Amino acid sequence: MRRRQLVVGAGSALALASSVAIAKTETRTLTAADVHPATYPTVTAVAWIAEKLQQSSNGTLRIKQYHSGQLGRESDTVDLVRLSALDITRVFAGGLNNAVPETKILSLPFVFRSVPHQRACLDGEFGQRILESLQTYQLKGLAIYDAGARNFYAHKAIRGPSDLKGLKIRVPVSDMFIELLTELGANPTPLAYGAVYSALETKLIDGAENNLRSYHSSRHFETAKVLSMSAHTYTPDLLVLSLKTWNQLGSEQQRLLEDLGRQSVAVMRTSWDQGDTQARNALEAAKVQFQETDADAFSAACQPLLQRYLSQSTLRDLNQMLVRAAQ
Amino acid sequence: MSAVSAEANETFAARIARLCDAIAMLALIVIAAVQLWQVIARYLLNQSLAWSEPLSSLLLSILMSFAAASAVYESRHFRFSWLLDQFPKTYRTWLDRVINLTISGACLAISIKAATWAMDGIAVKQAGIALPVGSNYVPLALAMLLAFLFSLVRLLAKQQETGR
Repeated sequence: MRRRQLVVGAGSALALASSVAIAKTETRTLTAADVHPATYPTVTAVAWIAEKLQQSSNGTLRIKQYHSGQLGRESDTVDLVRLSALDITRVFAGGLNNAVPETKILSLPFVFRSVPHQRACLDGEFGQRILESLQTYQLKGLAIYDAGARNFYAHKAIRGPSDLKGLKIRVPVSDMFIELLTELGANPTPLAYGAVYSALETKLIDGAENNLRSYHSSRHFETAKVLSMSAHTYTPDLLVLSLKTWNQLGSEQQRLLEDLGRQSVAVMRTSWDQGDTQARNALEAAKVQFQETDADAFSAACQPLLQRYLSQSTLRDLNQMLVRAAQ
Repeated sequence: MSAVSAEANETFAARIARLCDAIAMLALIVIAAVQLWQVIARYLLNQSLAWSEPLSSLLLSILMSFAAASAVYESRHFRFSWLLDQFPKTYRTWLDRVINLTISGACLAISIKAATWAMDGIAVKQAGIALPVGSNYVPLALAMLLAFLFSLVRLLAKQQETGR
Protein backbone atom coordinates (compact mmCIF):
# COMPACT_ATOMS: atom_id res chain seq x y z
CA MET A 1 0.00 0.00 0.00
CA ARG A 2 2.76 2.36 1.02
CA ARG A 3 4.62 1.56 -2.17
CA ARG A 4 1.53 2.30 -4.22
CA GLN A 5 1.05 5.63 -2.41
CA LEU A 6 4.66 6.47 -3.11
CA VAL A 7 4.24 5.77 -6.84
CA VAL A 8 1.01 7.81 -7.00
CA GLY A 9 2.64 10.65 -5.04
CA ALA A 10 5.68 10.70 -7.29
CA GLY A 11 3.45 10.64 -10.37
CA SER A 12 1.38 13.57 -9.07
CA ALA A 13 4.51 15.55 -8.24
CA LEU A 14 5.86 14.90 -11.75
CA ALA A 15 2.54 15.98 -13.31
CA LEU A 16 2.50 19.15 -11.19
CA ALA A 17 6.11 19.96 -12.09
CA SER A 18 5.44 19.50 -15.80
CA SER A 19 2.28 21.65 -15.66
CA VAL A 20 4.31 24.41 -13.94
CA ALA A 21 6.93 24.06 -16.66
CA ILE A 22 4.28 24.36 -19.38
CA ALA A 23 2.77 27.41 -17.67
CA LYS A 24 6.24 28.94 -17.49
CA THR A 25 6.86 28.46 -21.19
CA GLU A 26 3.56 30.21 -21.95
CA THR A 27 4.65 33.30 -20.03
CA ARG A 28 7.09 35.51 -21.87
CA THR A 29 9.08 38.31 -20.30
CA LEU A 30 10.49 40.91 -22.69
CA THR A 31 13.57 42.83 -21.57
CA ALA A 32 13.69 46.58 -22.17
CA ALA A 33 16.63 48.97 -21.80
CA ASP A 34 17.09 52.73 -21.57
CA VAL A 35 20.06 54.93 -20.64
CA HIS A 36 17.80 57.44 -18.88
CA PRO A 37 16.89 57.27 -15.16
CA ALA A 38 13.66 55.71 -13.82
CA THR A 39 11.73 58.99 -13.69
CA TYR A 40 12.55 60.04 -17.28
CA PRO A 41 9.39 60.18 -19.49
CA THR A 42 10.55 57.53 -21.97
CA VAL A 43 11.23 55.14 -19.06
CA THR A 44 7.87 55.84 -17.40
CA ALA A 45 6.13 55.37 -20.78
CA VAL A 46 7.66 51.89 -21.15
CA ALA A 47 6.72 51.16 -17.51
CA TRP A 48 3.14 52.09 -18.48
CA ILE A 49 3.29 49.70 -21.47
CA ALA A 50 4.59 46.97 -19.13
CA GLU A 51 1.71 47.48 -16.69
CA LYS A 52 -0.99 47.50 -19.39
CA LEU A 53 0.59 44.58 -21.20
CA GLN A 54 0.56 42.43 -18.11
CA GLN A 55 -3.08 43.30 -17.44
CA SER A 56 -4.30 42.82 -21.00
CA SER A 57 -2.40 39.57 -21.58
CA ASN A 58 -3.41 38.09 -18.20
CA GLY A 59 0.23 38.03 -17.21
CA THR A 60 1.41 35.97 -20.17
CA LEU A 61 3.40 38.83 -21.68
CA ARG A 62 5.53 40.99 -19.39
CA ILE A 63 8.28 43.57 -19.67
CA LYS A 64 11.28 43.81 -17.36
CA GLN A 65 12.95 47.20 -17.53
CA TYR A 66 16.64 48.02 -17.15
CA HIS A 67 16.94 51.82 -16.98
CA SER A 68 19.85 54.17 -16.23
CA GLY A 69 22.15 52.48 -18.73
CA GLN A 70 22.35 49.21 -16.76
CA LEU A 71 22.75 47.26 -20.00
CA GLY A 72 25.26 49.62 -21.62
CA ARG A 73 25.32 52.48 -24.10
CA GLU A 74 22.58 53.06 -26.67
CA SER A 75 24.78 51.76 -29.50
CA ASP A 76 25.28 48.55 -27.50
CA THR A 77 21.61 48.07 -26.70
CA VAL A 78 20.59 48.57 -30.35
CA ASP A 79 23.04 45.83 -31.36
CA LEU A 80 21.67 43.59 -28.60
CA VAL A 81 18.13 44.17 -29.85
CA ARG A 82 19.11 43.41 -33.43
CA LEU A 83 20.74 40.18 -32.30
CA SER A 84 17.67 39.43 -30.16
CA ALA A 85 19.72 39.26 -26.95
CA LEU A 86 17.51 42.11 -25.70
CA ASP A 87 13.91 42.68 -26.78
CA ILE A 88 13.21 46.40 -26.50
CA THR A 89 15.29 49.57 -26.33
CA ARG A 90 14.72 53.28 -26.52
CA VAL A 91 17.26 54.86 -28.81
CA PHE A 92 18.12 58.38 -29.94
CA ALA A 93 17.11 58.56 -33.62
CA GLY A 94 20.50 60.07 -34.56
CA GLY A 95 22.17 56.79 -33.61
CA LEU A 96 20.34 54.97 -36.41
CA ASN A 97 21.10 57.49 -39.17
CA ASN A 98 23.71 55.37 -40.94
CA ALA A 99 21.75 52.14 -40.70
CA VAL A 100 18.31 53.49 -41.64
CA PRO A 101 18.63 56.45 -44.05
CA GLU A 102 15.00 57.57 -43.48
CA THR A 103 15.85 58.46 -39.84
CA LYS A 104 18.26 61.17 -41.08
CA ILE A 105 15.30 63.47 -41.64
CA LEU A 106 14.62 63.39 -37.88
CA SER A 107 18.11 64.72 -37.12
CA LEU A 108 18.36 67.40 -39.81
CA PRO A 109 18.45 70.96 -38.43
CA PHE A 110 15.44 73.27 -38.76
CA VAL A 111 13.14 70.79 -40.54
CA PHE A 112 10.66 70.81 -37.64
CA ARG A 113 9.24 74.27 -36.91
CA SER A 114 8.00 73.68 -33.38
CA VAL A 115 6.92 70.95 -30.95
CA PRO A 116 3.24 71.01 -32.19
CA HIS A 117 4.48 70.78 -35.82
CA GLN A 118 6.72 67.85 -34.93
CA ARG A 119 4.00 66.05 -32.98
CA ALA A 120 1.49 66.45 -35.83
CA CYS A 121 4.01 64.98 -38.29
CA LEU A 122 5.09 62.08 -36.07
CA ASP A 123 1.46 61.11 -35.40
CA GLY A 124 0.61 60.92 -39.09
CA GLU A 125 1.79 59.20 -42.26
CA PHE A 126 5.29 60.65 -41.82
CA GLY A 127 5.77 58.91 -38.46
CA GLN A 128 4.34 55.65 -39.79
CA ARG A 129 6.82 55.69 -42.68
CA ILE A 130 9.73 56.18 -40.28
CA LEU A 131 8.55 53.30 -38.07
CA GLU A 132 8.17 51.00 -41.08
CA SER A 133 11.63 51.89 -42.39
CA LEU A 134 13.23 50.39 -39.25
CA GLN A 135 12.38 46.87 -40.44
CA THR A 136 15.27 47.02 -42.91
CA TYR A 137 17.56 46.99 -39.85
CA GLN A 138 15.77 44.05 -38.15
CA LEU A 139 13.92 46.40 -35.82
CA LYS A 140 10.19 46.77 -35.26
CA GLY A 141 9.32 50.40 -34.52
CA LEU A 142 6.82 50.66 -31.66
CA ALA A 143 6.74 54.41 -31.01
CA ILE A 144 8.40 57.72 -31.72
CA TYR A 145 8.85 59.78 -28.57
CA ASP A 146 9.38 63.44 -29.41
CA ALA A 147 12.07 64.86 -27.15
CA GLY A 148 11.70 68.61 -27.58
CA ALA A 149 14.19 71.03 -29.08
CA ARG A 150 17.90 70.54 -28.65
CA ASN A 151 19.86 73.53 -27.39
CA PHE A 152 23.53 74.28 -26.75
CA TYR A 153 24.86 74.53 -23.23
CA ALA A 154 28.33 75.56 -22.21
CA HIS A 155 30.33 77.60 -19.75
CA LYS A 156 29.61 80.67 -21.88
CA ALA A 157 26.68 82.05 -23.91
CA ILE A 158 26.30 80.89 -27.53
CA ARG A 159 24.22 83.54 -29.33
CA GLY A 160 25.07 82.50 -32.88
CA PRO A 161 27.40 80.26 -34.92
CA SER A 162 30.30 82.69 -34.41
CA ASP A 163 30.27 81.91 -30.67
CA LEU A 164 30.76 78.21 -31.43
CA LYS A 165 34.06 78.76 -33.29
CA GLY A 166 36.75 76.51 -31.83
CA LEU A 167 34.59 75.25 -28.96
CA LYS A 168 34.76 71.53 -28.21
CA ILE A 169 31.09 70.57 -28.23
CA ARG A 170 29.97 67.06 -27.35
CA VAL A 171 27.79 65.45 -30.00
CA PRO A 172 26.07 62.06 -30.02
CA VAL A 173 27.97 59.35 -31.91
CA SER A 174 26.33 60.24 -35.24
CA ASP A 175 27.85 61.41 -38.53
CA MET A 176 25.01 63.88 -39.03
CA PHE A 177 25.73 65.67 -35.73
CA ILE A 178 29.48 65.68 -36.40
CA GLU A 179 28.81 67.30 -39.80
CA LEU A 180 26.33 69.76 -38.32
CA LEU A 181 28.71 71.04 -35.65
CA THR A 182 31.56 71.20 -38.16
CA GLU A 183 29.31 73.28 -40.43
CA LEU A 184 28.58 75.60 -37.51
CA GLY A 185 32.32 76.12 -36.90
CA ALA A 186 32.60 74.12 -33.67
CA ASN A 187 34.94 71.27 -32.86
CA PRO A 188 32.53 68.29 -32.58
CA THR A 189 33.55 65.74 -29.96
CA PRO A 190 31.57 62.48 -30.15
CA LEU A 191 31.00 61.04 -26.69
CA ALA A 192 28.54 58.62 -25.14
CA TYR A 193 25.78 60.34 -23.13
CA GLY A 194 26.99 58.83 -19.85
CA ALA A 195 30.47 60.31 -20.30
CA VAL A 196 29.34 63.93 -20.75
CA TYR A 197 29.15 65.01 -17.09
CA SER A 198 32.75 64.15 -16.26
CA ALA A 199 33.89 65.50 -19.65
CA LEU A 200 32.30 68.87 -18.82
CA GLU A 201 33.74 68.84 -15.33
CA THR A 202 37.27 68.01 -16.47
CA LYS A 203 37.02 70.53 -19.36
CA LEU A 204 37.53 67.76 -21.89
CA ILE A 205 34.69 69.53 -23.68
CA ASP A 206 33.49 73.14 -23.52
CA GLY A 207 29.83 72.33 -23.92
CA ALA A 208 27.22 70.00 -25.34
CA GLU A 209 23.79 70.10 -26.91
CA ASN A 210 20.65 68.31 -25.82
CA ASN A 211 17.02 68.88 -24.88
CA LEU A 212 16.04 70.68 -21.69
CA ARG A 213 14.91 67.53 -19.87
CA SER A 214 18.19 65.70 -20.45
CA TYR A 215 20.18 68.82 -19.53
CA HIS A 216 18.33 68.77 -16.21
CA SER A 217 18.06 65.03 -15.45
CA SER A 218 21.75 64.41 -16.27
CA ARG A 219 22.72 67.31 -13.95
CA HIS A 220 24.88 68.77 -16.74
CA PHE A 221 23.62 72.21 -15.62
CA GLU A 222 25.86 71.90 -12.55
CA THR A 223 28.95 72.25 -14.73
CA ALA A 224 27.65 74.15 -17.80
CA LYS A 225 25.57 77.04 -16.50
CA VAL A 226 24.51 78.76 -19.74
CA LEU A 227 21.70 77.26 -21.80
CA SER A 228 21.52 78.88 -25.25
CA MET A 229 18.05 78.31 -26.72
CA SER A 230 19.11 77.53 -30.30
CA ALA A 231 16.44 74.84 -30.99
CA HIS A 232 18.65 73.66 -33.86
CA THR A 233 17.12 70.17 -34.08
CA TYR A 234 14.14 68.30 -32.66
CA THR A 235 15.63 64.80 -32.95
CA PRO A 236 13.19 62.39 -31.26
CA ASP A 237 13.72 59.00 -29.63
CA LEU A 238 12.57 55.69 -31.09
CA LEU A 239 11.18 52.76 -29.13
CA VAL A 240 12.23 49.64 -31.00
CA LEU A 241 11.62 45.93 -30.60
CA SER A 242 13.72 43.11 -32.00
CA LEU A 243 12.16 41.99 -35.29
CA LYS A 244 13.05 38.40 -34.36
CA THR A 245 11.11 38.74 -31.09
CA TRP A 246 8.24 40.38 -32.97
CA ASN A 247 8.03 37.44 -35.37
CA GLN A 248 7.95 34.99 -32.46
CA LEU A 249 4.89 36.65 -30.91
CA GLY A 250 1.36 35.58 -31.72
CA SER A 251 -0.85 37.89 -33.80
CA GLU A 252 -2.88 38.91 -30.72
CA GLN A 253 0.29 39.71 -28.77
CA GLN A 254 1.62 41.69 -31.74
CA ARG A 255 -1.58 43.73 -31.98
CA LEU A 256 -1.53 44.39 -28.23
CA LEU A 257 2.09 45.53 -28.23
CA GLU A 258 1.58 47.72 -31.31
CA ASP A 259 -1.50 49.38 -29.80
CA LEU A 260 0.16 49.98 -26.44
CA GLY A 261 3.27 51.38 -28.17
CA ARG A 262 1.09 53.87 -30.04
CA GLN A 263 -0.89 54.79 -26.91
CA SER A 264 2.26 55.22 -24.84
CA VAL A 265 3.17 58.29 -26.93
CA ALA A 266 0.39 60.29 -25.22
CA VAL A 267 1.51 59.00 -21.80
CA MET A 268 5.08 60.02 -22.57
CA ARG A 269 4.03 63.46 -23.81
CA THR A 270 1.95 64.20 -20.70
CA SER A 271 4.88 63.23 -18.51
CA TRP A 272 7.27 65.19 -20.75
CA ASP A 273 5.22 68.39 -20.70
CA GLN A 274 4.78 68.27 -16.92
CA GLY A 275 8.43 67.50 -16.38
CA ASP A 276 9.51 70.19 -18.82
CA THR A 277 7.97 72.90 -16.64
CA GLN A 278 9.43 71.35 -13.49
CA ALA A 279 12.86 71.07 -15.13
CA ARG A 280 12.73 74.70 -16.26
CA ASN A 281 11.80 75.83 -12.71
CA ALA A 282 14.57 73.70 -11.23
CA LEU A 283 17.10 75.14 -13.70
CA GLU A 284 16.02 78.68 -12.88
CA ALA A 285 16.37 77.90 -9.16
CA ALA A 286 19.87 76.58 -9.88
CA LYS A 287 20.70 79.97 -11.45
CA VAL A 288 21.09 78.63 -14.99
CA GLN A 289 21.30 81.46 -17.52
CA PHE A 290 18.74 81.07 -20.36
CA GLN A 291 20.27 82.75 -23.40
CA GLU A 292 18.26 83.82 -26.48
CA THR A 293 19.98 83.10 -29.80
CA ASP A 294 20.03 84.38 -33.37
CA ALA A 295 17.83 81.71 -35.01
CA ASP A 296 18.26 83.17 -38.50
CA ALA A 297 22.05 83.03 -38.23
CA PHE A 298 21.94 79.39 -37.11
CA SER A 299 19.46 78.50 -39.85
CA ALA A 300 21.57 80.21 -42.54
CA ALA A 301 24.71 78.40 -41.37
CA CYS A 302 22.91 75.05 -41.64
CA GLN A 303 21.70 75.58 -45.24
CA PRO A 304 24.67 73.91 -47.01
CA LEU A 305 24.20 70.79 -44.88
CA LEU A 306 20.45 70.80 -45.47
CA GLN A 307 20.89 71.14 -49.24
CA ARG A 308 23.40 68.32 -49.27
CA TYR A 309 21.09 65.92 -47.46
CA LEU A 310 17.84 67.02 -49.10
CA SER A 311 19.31 66.27 -52.52
CA GLN A 312 18.70 62.59 -51.62
CA SER A 313 15.29 61.60 -52.97
CA THR A 314 14.09 59.71 -49.86
CA LEU A 315 14.86 62.63 -47.57
CA ARG A 316 13.44 65.14 -50.07
CA ASP A 317 10.11 63.25 -50.13
CA LEU A 318 9.97 63.06 -46.36
CA ASN A 319 10.83 66.75 -46.06
CA GLN A 320 7.97 67.58 -48.45
CA MET A 321 5.62 65.89 -45.97
CA LEU A 322 6.98 68.11 -43.20
CA VAL A 323 6.63 71.24 -45.33
CA ARG A 324 3.01 70.34 -46.23
CA ALA A 325 2.19 69.74 -42.53
CA ALA A 326 3.56 73.17 -41.64
CA GLN A 327 1.34 74.97 -44.17
CA MET B 1 47.57 10.14 -38.41
CA SER B 2 51.33 9.51 -38.37
CA ALA B 3 53.64 11.00 -35.73
CA VAL B 4 55.46 13.02 -38.42
CA SER B 5 52.31 14.75 -39.72
CA ALA B 6 51.11 15.47 -36.14
CA GLU B 7 54.45 17.15 -35.45
CA ALA B 8 54.20 19.11 -38.70
CA ASN B 9 50.72 20.30 -37.66
CA GLU B 10 52.08 21.26 -34.25
CA THR B 11 54.92 23.30 -35.79
CA PHE B 12 52.58 25.06 -38.20
CA ALA B 13 50.09 25.79 -35.38
CA ALA B 14 52.93 27.13 -33.23
CA ARG B 15 53.86 29.58 -36.00
CA ILE B 16 50.26 30.74 -36.38
CA ALA B 17 49.98 31.12 -32.58
CA ARG B 18 53.09 33.34 -32.56
CA LEU B 19 51.51 35.37 -35.37
CA CYS B 20 48.40 35.79 -33.17
CA ASP B 21 50.65 37.06 -30.34
CA ALA B 22 52.29 39.52 -32.74
CA ILE B 23 48.91 40.79 -34.02
CA ALA B 24 47.64 41.24 -30.43
CA MET B 25 50.81 43.09 -29.39
CA LEU B 26 50.70 45.31 -32.48
CA ALA B 27 47.05 46.15 -31.72
CA LEU B 28 48.03 47.14 -28.16
CA ILE B 29 50.80 49.43 -29.44
CA VAL B 30 48.47 51.06 -32.00
CA ILE B 31 45.78 51.61 -29.30
CA ALA B 32 48.36 53.44 -27.18
CA ALA B 33 49.45 55.51 -30.20
CA VAL B 34 45.83 56.39 -31.14
CA GLN B 35 45.03 57.44 -27.57
CA LEU B 36 48.17 59.58 -27.41
CA TRP B 37 47.31 61.23 -30.73
CA GLN B 38 43.76 61.81 -29.47
CA VAL B 39 45.08 63.71 -26.43
CA ILE B 40 47.46 65.77 -28.59
CA ALA B 41 44.74 66.55 -31.13
CA ARG B 42 42.17 67.45 -28.48
CA TYR B 43 44.29 69.57 -26.16
CA LEU B 44 47.13 70.92 -28.29
CA LEU B 45 45.58 71.16 -31.74
CA ASN B 46 42.00 71.77 -30.51
CA GLN B 47 40.77 69.25 -33.09
CA SER B 48 38.74 66.38 -31.62
CA LEU B 49 39.01 63.15 -33.58
CA ALA B 50 35.80 61.36 -34.49
CA TRP B 51 37.60 58.17 -35.56
CA SER B 52 39.79 57.54 -32.52
CA GLU B 53 37.14 55.88 -30.32
CA PRO B 54 35.68 53.48 -32.92
CA LEU B 55 39.22 52.60 -34.08
CA SER B 56 40.35 51.92 -30.49
CA SER B 57 37.28 49.75 -29.98
CA LEU B 58 38.13 47.70 -33.10
CA LEU B 59 41.78 47.40 -32.02
CA LEU B 60 40.69 46.23 -28.57
CA SER B 61 38.57 43.56 -30.23
CA ILE B 62 41.63 42.48 -32.31
CA LEU B 63 43.83 42.42 -29.19
CA MET B 64 41.44 40.35 -27.08
CA SER B 65 40.37 37.94 -29.83
CA PHE B 66 43.87 37.03 -31.05
CA ALA B 67 45.27 36.87 -27.51
CA ALA B 68 42.43 34.45 -26.66
CA ALA B 69 43.28 32.31 -29.71
CA SER B 70 46.91 32.18 -28.62
CA ALA B 71 45.79 31.25 -25.08
CA VAL B 72 43.88 28.28 -26.53
CA TYR B 73 47.05 27.14 -28.29
CA GLU B 74 49.00 27.45 -25.02
CA SER B 75 46.18 25.58 -23.20
CA ARG B 76 45.72 28.53 -20.86
CA HIS B 77 41.94 28.51 -21.17
CA PHE B 78 39.50 27.18 -18.55
CA ARG B 79 40.65 23.63 -17.89
CA PHE B 80 38.92 22.77 -14.61
CA SER B 81 42.29 21.34 -13.52
CA TRP B 82 41.21 21.01 -9.85
CA LEU B 83 38.26 18.88 -10.96
CA LEU B 84 40.50 16.79 -13.23
CA ASP B 85 42.91 16.12 -10.38
CA GLN B 86 40.13 14.48 -8.37
CA PHE B 87 39.83 11.64 -10.90
CA PRO B 88 42.10 8.65 -11.48
CA LYS B 89 44.51 8.97 -14.41
CA THR B 90 42.40 6.83 -16.81
CA TYR B 91 39.36 9.09 -16.38
CA ARG B 92 41.51 12.21 -16.41
CA THR B 93 42.69 11.55 -19.98
CA TRP B 94 39.15 10.95 -21.09
CA LEU B 95 37.85 14.07 -19.32
CA ASP B 96 40.67 16.16 -20.77
CA ARG B 97 39.47 15.15 -24.23
CA VAL B 98 35.93 16.21 -23.33
CA ILE B 99 37.22 19.60 -22.18
CA ASN B 100 39.21 20.01 -25.41
CA LEU B 101 36.18 19.08 -27.47
CA THR B 102 34.02 21.54 -25.49
CA ILE B 103 36.56 24.31 -26.18
CA SER B 104 36.62 23.36 -29.89
CA GLY B 105 32.83 23.46 -30.09
CA ALA B 106 32.59 26.78 -28.25
CA CYS B 107 35.27 28.40 -30.46
CA LEU B 108 33.61 27.17 -33.64
CA ALA B 109 30.17 28.35 -32.49
CA ILE B 110 31.53 31.82 -31.56
CA SER B 111 33.37 32.04 -34.88
CA ILE B 112 30.25 31.19 -36.90
CA LYS B 113 28.08 33.61 -34.89
CA ALA B 114 30.64 36.43 -35.17
CA ALA B 115 30.94 35.84 -38.94
CA THR B 116 27.14 36.08 -39.23
CA TRP B 117 27.15 39.38 -37.32
CA ALA B 118 30.05 40.67 -39.43
CA MET B 119 28.15 39.92 -42.67
CA ASP B 120 24.98 41.41 -41.19
CA GLY B 121 26.62 44.78 -40.55
CA ILE B 122 28.84 44.88 -43.62
CA ALA B 123 26.71 47.46 -45.47
CA VAL B 124 26.25 49.87 -42.55
CA LYS B 125 28.89 52.55 -42.02
CA GLN B 126 30.04 53.24 -38.48
CA ALA B 127 29.60 56.78 -37.18
CA GLY B 128 32.86 58.69 -37.09
CA ILE B 129 34.98 56.27 -39.15
CA ALA B 130 34.84 54.92 -42.71
CA LEU B 131 34.46 51.31 -41.63
CA PRO B 132 31.37 49.10 -41.65
CA VAL B 133 29.69 48.18 -38.35
CA GLY B 134 30.32 44.53 -39.21
CA SER B 135 34.11 45.03 -39.12
CA ASN B 136 33.99 44.95 -35.30
CA TYR B 137 33.11 41.25 -35.43
CA VAL B 138 35.70 40.20 -38.04
CA PRO B 139 38.61 39.78 -35.54
CA LEU B 140 36.45 37.59 -33.29
CA ALA B 141 35.32 35.43 -36.23
CA LEU B 142 38.90 34.91 -37.51
CA ALA B 143 40.54 34.45 -34.12
CA MET B 144 37.95 31.96 -32.89
CA LEU B 145 38.34 29.97 -36.11
CA LEU B 146 42.08 29.78 -35.37
CA ALA B 147 41.34 28.86 -31.74
CA PHE B 148 39.10 26.04 -33.03
CA LEU B 149 41.95 24.74 -35.21
CA PHE B 150 44.44 25.06 -32.32
CA SER B 151 42.22 23.03 -30.01
CA LEU B 152 41.90 20.33 -32.70
CA VAL B 153 45.68 20.21 -33.10
CA ARG B 154 46.00 19.86 -29.31
CA LEU B 155 43.44 17.06 -29.31
CA LEU B 156 45.25 15.17 -32.10
CA ALA B 157 48.61 15.65 -30.41
CA LYS B 158 47.26 14.20 -27.14
CA GLN B 159 45.71 11.28 -28.99
CA GLN B 160 49.10 10.65 -30.59
CA GLU B 161 50.77 10.74 -27.16
CA THR B 162 48.37 8.23 -25.63
CA GLY B 163 48.63 6.00 -28.72
CA ARG B 164 52.44 5.80 -28.49
